[in-house]
Amino acid sequence: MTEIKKDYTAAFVDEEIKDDLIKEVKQKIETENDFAIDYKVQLLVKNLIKENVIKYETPNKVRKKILKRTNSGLDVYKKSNKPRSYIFEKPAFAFATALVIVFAIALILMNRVGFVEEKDFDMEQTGENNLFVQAQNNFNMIIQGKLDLQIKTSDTKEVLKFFQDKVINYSTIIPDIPQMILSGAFISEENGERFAHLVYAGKNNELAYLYQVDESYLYDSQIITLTNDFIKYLDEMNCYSKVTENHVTLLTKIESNICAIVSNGNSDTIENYFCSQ
Amino acid sequence: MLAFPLSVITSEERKLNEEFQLKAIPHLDELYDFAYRVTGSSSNAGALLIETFRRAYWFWAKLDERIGCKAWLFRIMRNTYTSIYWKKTKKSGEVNYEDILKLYESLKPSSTGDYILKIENYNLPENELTKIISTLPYDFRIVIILKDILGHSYDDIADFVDVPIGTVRSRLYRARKMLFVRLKKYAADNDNLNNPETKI
Repeated sequence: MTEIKKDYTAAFVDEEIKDDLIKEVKQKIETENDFAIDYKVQLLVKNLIKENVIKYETPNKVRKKILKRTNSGLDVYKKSNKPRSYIFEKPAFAFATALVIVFAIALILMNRVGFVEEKDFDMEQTGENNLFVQAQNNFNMIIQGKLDLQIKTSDTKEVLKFFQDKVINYSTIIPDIPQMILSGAFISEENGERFAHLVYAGKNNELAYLYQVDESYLYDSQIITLTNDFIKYLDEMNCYSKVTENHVTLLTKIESNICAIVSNGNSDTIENYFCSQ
Repeated sequence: MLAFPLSVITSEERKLNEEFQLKAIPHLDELYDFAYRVTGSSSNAGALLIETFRRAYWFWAKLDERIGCKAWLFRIMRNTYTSIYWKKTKKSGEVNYEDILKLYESLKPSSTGDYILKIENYNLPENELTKIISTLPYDFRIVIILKDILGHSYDDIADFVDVPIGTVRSRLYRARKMLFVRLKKYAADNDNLNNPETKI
């Protein structure tokens, strides 16, 4: 006979108990207070999760990348449906085949997705002209009250006109960041070129700051910089984010602009929004 | 002479693509959701998902129809995560369950009618529960994600985690108790629990 332990209350909640034990577990829950309370706790937590947890959807960029790779006839990882042993049936090809396999493995290792390595991008960004560095410095100055908005409005048309009047030489994007309202904008100037900056605020005074430059400024690599591998990473429609205790810094490419977003708001919301564009 | 074998390869590839689109792609969102909760960021989740599907495509011929495509994809994701990501980011993740149990015993109500057992008394802000779940040690977090968020069966979870079903049941039971302790602490610290007795 199976001993009914308290962890069966979890299985009872999940309807994962075999028929012959259901009655016994139910009886325990109905007659023993400890079992009854554990059952209620299990049920409460399960239902709270069911009601409160939001499901995450695959960002469009990631979806497109996967679909593109699996649709492409040129993918280096494409394989034959035949079992591997068939390949070696013709001795004349065995050596050449082995070479191809070694080469393929080398390619795979070189092309492995670097979701750990990407974390180091921020370590390589240095210098006062670096976009990443500038974005973080500007954000710190904004929250310390040392950098003022040149236009205070939540009207996107007014902000776009402001950028136009101030001769920003590239098209600017004003996204609707969830749970944030546009507070205004300012421009900066580097070697005669002007750049657009936006500031958003949330209900609890959290801020989001967006600094955007046309990608061509980065390719020239004189006025605004990022390391080449970082530019390549962003150009491949990847989204980079660095979350620290106080804020999230995120870089992504939207249309032809490289955008740096720094916020002390909810990092998940910021990441989900910008990384699924 | 050359045209025929080429057309055979093309047709095989087309068949592979069609099968993959039909069977694997529909599970993208569920795998992404899982990856996000395990890695903790959208960029890492995206990278893990891409790598998982790259491997799945590569080994498509090895798909075991008996376990089903979804379970197979989750298995690939688990292996990808443990082989590439987990080793480099593994934190101690150790938990003294005896301490948690003592805390649970001291916090749990004495009767099933207690207000802290009623779901309507919890006012949790959006994402708060997700954050609380992310603080659980890996072994416990994983069963909560697979069962309570993604709705997998105990059989599938046992296959995924590679433990007996009894261990799945026990981990879920303990994980929910840990969550209860953390939820109650959060609610008490933030005044997010309605106690009807204190209301005028």
